[in-house]
Amino acid sequence: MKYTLAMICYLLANIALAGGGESYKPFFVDRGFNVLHHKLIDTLIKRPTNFNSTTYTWVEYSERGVFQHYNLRAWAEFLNISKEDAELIIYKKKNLDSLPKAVREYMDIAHEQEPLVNFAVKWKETAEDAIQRQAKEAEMAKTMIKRIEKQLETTKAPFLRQRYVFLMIRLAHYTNVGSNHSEEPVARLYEKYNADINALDNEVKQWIISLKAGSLRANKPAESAYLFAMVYRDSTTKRVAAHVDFRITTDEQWSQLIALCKNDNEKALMHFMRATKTNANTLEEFKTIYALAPNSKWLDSLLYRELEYVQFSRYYEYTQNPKLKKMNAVLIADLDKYQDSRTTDAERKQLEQRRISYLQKLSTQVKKIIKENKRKDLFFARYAQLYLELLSTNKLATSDVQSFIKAYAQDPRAQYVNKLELYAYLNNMDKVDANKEREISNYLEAIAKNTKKNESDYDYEIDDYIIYTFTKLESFYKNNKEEGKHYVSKNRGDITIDNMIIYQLRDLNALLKKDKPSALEVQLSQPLKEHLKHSHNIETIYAKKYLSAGLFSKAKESLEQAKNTKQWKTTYNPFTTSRGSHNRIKSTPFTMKKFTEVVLEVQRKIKENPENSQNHFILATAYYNMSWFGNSPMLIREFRSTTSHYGGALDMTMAKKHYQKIIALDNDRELVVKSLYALAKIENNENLIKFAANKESHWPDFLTDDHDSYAESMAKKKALGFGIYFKKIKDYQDTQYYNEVIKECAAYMNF
Amino acid sequence: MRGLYEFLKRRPRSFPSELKLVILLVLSFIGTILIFDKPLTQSSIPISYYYWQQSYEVSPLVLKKYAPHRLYIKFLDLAYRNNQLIINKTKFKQEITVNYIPVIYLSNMALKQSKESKIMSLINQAVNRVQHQKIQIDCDWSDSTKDKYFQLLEKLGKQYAEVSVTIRLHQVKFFERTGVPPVTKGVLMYYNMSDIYDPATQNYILDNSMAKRYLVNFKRYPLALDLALPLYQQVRVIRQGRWAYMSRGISPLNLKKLTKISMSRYHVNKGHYYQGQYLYPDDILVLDKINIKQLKIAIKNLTNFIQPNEITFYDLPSAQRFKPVELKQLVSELR
Repeated sequence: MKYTLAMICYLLANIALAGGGESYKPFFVDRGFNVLHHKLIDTLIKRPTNFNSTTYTWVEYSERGVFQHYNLRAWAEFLNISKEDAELIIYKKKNLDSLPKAVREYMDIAHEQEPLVNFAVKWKETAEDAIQRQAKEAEMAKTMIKRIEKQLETTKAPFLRQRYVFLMIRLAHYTNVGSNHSEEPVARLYEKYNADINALDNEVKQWIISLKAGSLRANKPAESAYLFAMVYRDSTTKRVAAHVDFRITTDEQWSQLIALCKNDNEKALMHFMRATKTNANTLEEFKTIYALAPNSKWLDSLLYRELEYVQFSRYYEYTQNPKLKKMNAVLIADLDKYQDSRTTDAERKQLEQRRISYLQKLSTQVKKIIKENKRKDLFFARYAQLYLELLSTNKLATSDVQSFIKAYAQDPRAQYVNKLELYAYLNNMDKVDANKEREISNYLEAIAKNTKKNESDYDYEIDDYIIYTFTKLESFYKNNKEEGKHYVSKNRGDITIDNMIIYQLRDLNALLKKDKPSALEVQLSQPLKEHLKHSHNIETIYAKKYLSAGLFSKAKESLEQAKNTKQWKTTYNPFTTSRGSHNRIKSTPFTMKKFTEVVLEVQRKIKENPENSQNHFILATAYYNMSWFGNSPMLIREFRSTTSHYGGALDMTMAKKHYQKIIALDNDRELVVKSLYALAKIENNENLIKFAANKESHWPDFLTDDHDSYAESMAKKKALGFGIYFKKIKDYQDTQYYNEVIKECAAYMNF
Repeated sequence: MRGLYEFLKRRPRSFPSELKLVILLVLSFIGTILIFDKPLTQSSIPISYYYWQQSYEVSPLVLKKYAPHRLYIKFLDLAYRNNQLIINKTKFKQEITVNYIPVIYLSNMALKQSKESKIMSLINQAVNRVQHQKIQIDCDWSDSTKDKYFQLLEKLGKQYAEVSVTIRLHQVKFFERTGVPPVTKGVLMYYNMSDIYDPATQNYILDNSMAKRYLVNFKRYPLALDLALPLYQQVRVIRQGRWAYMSRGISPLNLKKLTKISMSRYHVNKGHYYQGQYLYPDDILVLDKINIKQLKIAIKNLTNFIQPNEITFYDLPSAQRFKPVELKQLVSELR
C-alpha cells in the first residue's frame, strides 16, 4: 500500500510542479490556437503564401497537386472518361491507342516537346555545352511551333486548340527565357491566337496569361506584375506561382503598375500583392487598401492573413526556418523569447506589452472600418473585432458573440463563428459541471460538422479547439478532483499510461464504457481508446499498476476479469538470475497471471516460514526483474526505453530488502553469495542512476571517455565507492556459485 | 659609403655643420629603410578574392586590374529548408581563366540533417577530383555537428590534396569547445561578427570594437590561419522595431524621403522603393559600410595575432569600389 501512496504522491507532486498557475495566458503562451475558418472570407490566401521567391520548394499548399487535379478533371470531361483513366493517359502515357486521332496527335506532340520545356539541372554540363544546347533547343522549339501551327490548320476542338496554343507559347517562352528574348515570340503567338486563348474561359487561359506575364518580366516589369496579379485574382491553379512572380523593384515601375489598373479595386489588389510579400508592413498596406477601395474583398483577405499571424497559427512555418523566426512577422519571434528561460520577468512584460500594443493598432484600424461604415459587408471586420478583443485581453463576453451571430443569422458564414463562441464560453467559465460539459459538447459537435478532415489545405484548423478546450478545463477538473479528466486535459490529450495512476485510468475507462458519451467525453476518453487498440486490455494495464505497487492479489483479481484475451507473456523467466546484470538468459516465459500466482505462493510461504532463504531469493529476484534493469520490466510498464533508464521503473528497494534478509539469515552460503552478487548489481545500477549524465543518456558522466579500458572504468567506479558487496564476496570463494558464475564476471575480476 | 667613411676617419674630433647634416640624412635614410623594410617585404602577401555569386561571369578587365593571386569560387551551396536539402550549384557562364580554388558552402542545418555520404557525393559531383586538388569548405559548425563535420573533412582530406576551411572568430576564442578542424589550414573570416538580428548592432559586417573581444587564444590555436577581410557593404532594414531584411550593396539614397538620424542610420519618412524593395514610413535603414580606414584598424588590431600567408577579400565584385593599389597598401600594413 505504501508504494501506491508513494506513487500517488510522486505523480501529484509532478502535476503540481508542472501546473500552469494563475498568470497563464493561452493566447500568448501557447501556439497554434485558431479561431479562423477558411469559409469566413471570400478569397483565402493559399496557405502558406510565399515568404520569398524560393518558396516553390516548401509551400505547404501544393499547387502542383491542385494543378494536376484540375488538368485530369478537364481531360476526363473532354474525353468522357474517369479521372483515373485520364491519369493513365496524361501522366503515365498509357492507353494512347484508344484515343481519337486528333487527341492522339496532340498527345504525341505534347510528349515530344516535353524535353524542351524541362528545367532539370544538368549537373555535368559545361558552360559551353549549355550555350550550345540552349541554341539547339531554341531551333528545335521553332520547328515544333511550326509543326503545331500546321496541326492547328486541321484541329477543330476549342479544347485542343487552346492547349496547342499553350504548348506553343510555353515553348517560345522557355527556350528564350535565358536570353530574355521571349517577349517578342510570345507576343506574336499571343496576338495571332488570341481567339483560341479566349475561346474557353478556363485555367488553361490563365496558364497562357502567366506565360505572357513571364515573357514581359525582363523588359516590361510593370506589365508583367499586372498580369501576374490578374492571374492571382482569376486562377485557382497558378495563384501561388503568380504571387511569387509578382515583382516590382522601383518607384517608377510601381507608378506604371498603378497606371495600368482599371479601377481602385485593381489598385487595392496591387497593394494586397505587395502586402503579402515577405516582411511587408501589413498595417500600412491595410490602411492604404481601405482608403483606396473600402469595399475591396482584398481587405478581408489581408485581415484574415494578419489574424493568422497574430494568433500564432503560422508558428510551425517559423520553426522550420530559423531566419524567418527572426523576422518581423508580427511578433511571432517574441513568443520564443517569452518562453526562453533566460528571459527576465521585466522583459516578458515588455514582450507582452509589445504584442498588446500591436493588437491594439490592428484593432484600431478594424474599429475605424466598422465606425465609418463605408464598407458594405462588415461581417469579417466585426468578427475580427471580437477576435482581437479575445486575443488582446483574454476576455470576450459570450453574449457579444451571440449577438453577432444573431445579427448575421441569415448569412451562411455565421455557422463558422461557433469556434469563437466556444472560446468565449470557455474564457468566461469559473468551474465545470455536468451542465457546462453538455454545453461544451454542443459546441464541439457543431464545430466538428464544419471541420472536415482530409481537406489538406486546412488540416491545421482541425484539432486546436479541442486542445484549447482542454487548456481551459484543466484547472477546473483539478478543483473537482476528477483525476482522469484532469490528466487528459493537463496533457492536452496526449497520455502516457506509465505515468498515470490507476484512478485516472479507471475514470477514463468509465467514460469509454458509456453508452452515449458526449462529444467532450469522447475527446477525453479517446487517447485511452487509441492506446488500447495497440496494447493489452484495460484489466492487464490495471494489473501492471498493481504489480508495480506490490499489490499482487489485486493484480491477480484484475487479470481474472480480463475476458477472451490471449495472455501476454514475458520473454524470460522473471525468477531467474544470470551473470549479467539484466538476468536475460534463455528461460521459460511466464504469463502475467502465472507470475502473479507464483509470487503470491512465495509470499504465503514466507509468511509461514520467514526463515526460508530460498523463498526470499525468489521474491527478491522477481522484484529486481520487474525493474528497468531486470529481464521482465514489461510486467509493470507499457513502454521501456532501450537507450535510457530515464522514465523506467528504478525502485529496487524490495529486491534489496529480501536479498539483505538472506544475508542476515545466513543459513545457506550458496544463497548468501548469490544475494551478495545480486546486491552488487543493484549497487552498480544505483550508481548509474545517481551519476547519469542527463535524461537522454543513462551512461554516467564519469564513464563518458570512450577510450577507457574496462579496468580503467572500474577504477573510476571504485574511486566513487563502488564495490561494497564485491568486497564481501571474497569470503565466499569456496562456494559453487562463486566458482561457476562470479569468477567469470569481468566486473568482479577487474574489481 | 666609402667616401663617408674616409671623411669621418680624417676628421674624428669635431663635426662641421655640413657633415652633421649629411650624417643626419644618411641615418634618416638607413632608419627609413629599417622601418619600412618589414612591411615592404610583407606587401608581397598574395591577395586573393572570394567569388560568391550564383553564376560565374567576370569581366577580363576586372581580372586584369585586380590580378588576383587566386579566386575562391563558390561551386556549391548546400542549405536546408523545410525538411529538405536545397542544392545550388554555381552556373559557369564562362571559363575560369585565373588560378582558383573551389569553395563549398555547407549550412550547419544541411550538415546536421543530411547523410555524410550524400554531402560527400554532392561535393564530389560539384568539384571534380581529377581537375581539382584543393578545396575549401565554409561551414559554421556547432557543438552538435562538430564530430560529423570533422569526419567529413577527414574523408575529404583523403580525396583532395589540400582541404582548407573557413574559421569564425568565436571558433578561435572557444576552440577548446568548438574543436579544431582536421585540415591543412583555416581562413579566419574577419567579418559578420555581430548579431544581425539585433537592431542595435552598429555595423554587422565589421565592428572593430566587437572584434577585439574575440582576439583571444590565437597563440594557442593549433591551425595555420590565413585571413579573409570584407569589402562588401549592405543595408539592414529595421521595421516595427525588428530586423526585417538586408540587401547587398549601398546604392544612392533618396534623401528627400529620409531623415539622417546618425552616421549610419536613416529614418524613412515616405514610402519608396530602394534596392528592389519597398520601404515603409517609419522603417530605419542601417548602413553597414566598409572603408579603408576601418580595414586599417582591423589590420592593426590583428597584427599581433595572425601572420597570414594569403589575404582573401570578400568579394571580387565589391573590390571594385577600391583601387588595387589601396588594397595592396592595406595588406602591406599587416606586420
